[in-house]
Amino acid sequence: MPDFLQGPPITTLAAPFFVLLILAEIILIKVRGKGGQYESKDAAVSVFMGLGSTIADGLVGFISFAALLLAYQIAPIKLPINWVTGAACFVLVDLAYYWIHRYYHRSRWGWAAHVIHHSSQHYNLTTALRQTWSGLLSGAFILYIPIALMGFHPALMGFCFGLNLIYQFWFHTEVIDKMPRWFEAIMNTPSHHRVHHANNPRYLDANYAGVFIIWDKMFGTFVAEREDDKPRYGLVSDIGSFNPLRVATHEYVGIIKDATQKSLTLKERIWYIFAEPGWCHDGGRKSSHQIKADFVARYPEHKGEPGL
Amino acid sequence: MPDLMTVIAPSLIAIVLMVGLIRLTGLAHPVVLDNEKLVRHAIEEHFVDEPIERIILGQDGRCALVLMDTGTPALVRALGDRMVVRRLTSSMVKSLSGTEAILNLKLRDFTWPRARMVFENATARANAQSLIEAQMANHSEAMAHA
Repeated sequence: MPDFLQGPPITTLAAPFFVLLILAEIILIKVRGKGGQYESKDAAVSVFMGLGSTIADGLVGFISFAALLLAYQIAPIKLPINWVTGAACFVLVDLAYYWIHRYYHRSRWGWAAHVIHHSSQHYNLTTALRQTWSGLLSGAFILYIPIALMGFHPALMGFCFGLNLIYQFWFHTEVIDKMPRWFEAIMNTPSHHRVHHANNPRYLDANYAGVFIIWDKMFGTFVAEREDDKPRYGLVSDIGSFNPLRVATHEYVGIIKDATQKSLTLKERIWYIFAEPGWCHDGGRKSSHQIKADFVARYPEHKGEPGL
Repeated sequence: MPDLMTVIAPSLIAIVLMVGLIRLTGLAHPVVLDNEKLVRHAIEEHFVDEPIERIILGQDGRCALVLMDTGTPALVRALGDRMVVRRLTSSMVKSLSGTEAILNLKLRDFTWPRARMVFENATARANAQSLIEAQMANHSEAMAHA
């Protein structure tokens, strides 16, 4: 196996550059007087959540790696590690990431892990570091198993996933408006990802891509950023705390409270765990579909527009 | 797993550097809820098309009580440079108590379990407390009849 697959995770090596870019972004916003906002507690929590995520991955990441290794061992063919298979693996990992990300947003169990990344009302480079502590618990890694079964070595997959995460860092910013047109057409960009982090009705559940925005275009989840509907960041119901433990666990606590209410049927209890976020047996809360439907009912002239 | 200290120490240094730079550049502007316009804006974003009856600002600029036409009061809280909004339904409020000019609310909200609002004086606090209790009682009754 090549040396680069045996060293420390590529994201760990990139960490100092992340910090430098964050500091550069802060200075750039100050100098230009626009292009994003920073709040010290919010930014500190984001970096702290990133630290927690790295520690959690270090502690339990071997479980998902072992599962992938097992799948690789039973794979009928073992692909060599070279530029061609590396590129193919990178594309496949990104495709799997798209579906994992979609699952994170469409099932409350996945959302409970991923909500952390969306829990800030800010959108800047620190938001990229605000990552889940319970990725393994979400079970999302199962969607990577088919790639190992195709004969790609899990170490190569891990490397490609690291590259994928590094790519995703830079577009968590408002400093960059739009990239060149050809780039916006193929790649995920700050503009596309601002849409993903926004809670405006038209932007909910859109742009799940990691690196290539073409997945969203292929699978019907792409929504372009609009000048007349500036993204508002955060959750539909924002959290009221900077406490990292509360940030990391609040949706799990919500699931437990909801699913253990009195006089629910078994199906309703299961639905509170796995149905789309916002699902509610008595209509007391709204899912993103209902929020979009309400918006269209209020502003029928927008009906049929992307995202609505 | 990378050595814990090689992850923790740089992360803590990064946090210190970042927070220091944010303070130095004066980029952070904590919200002070000292004008109704700000609170109105937050409410309108969350509860579209719901008319506001009255806004009561806390004396410390950290909380505001909003009486809605629909009958359910709402609470707005300053959190850093942003705001957080909640409806004060009977299922949301665990308990309500007041001492002098301070109203304490215990909420059934994991990320915002306690709210504290400072009023001008004990009478203003007592009035607001009765208003919330009355509106919550009306809401419970309406739910029971639904």
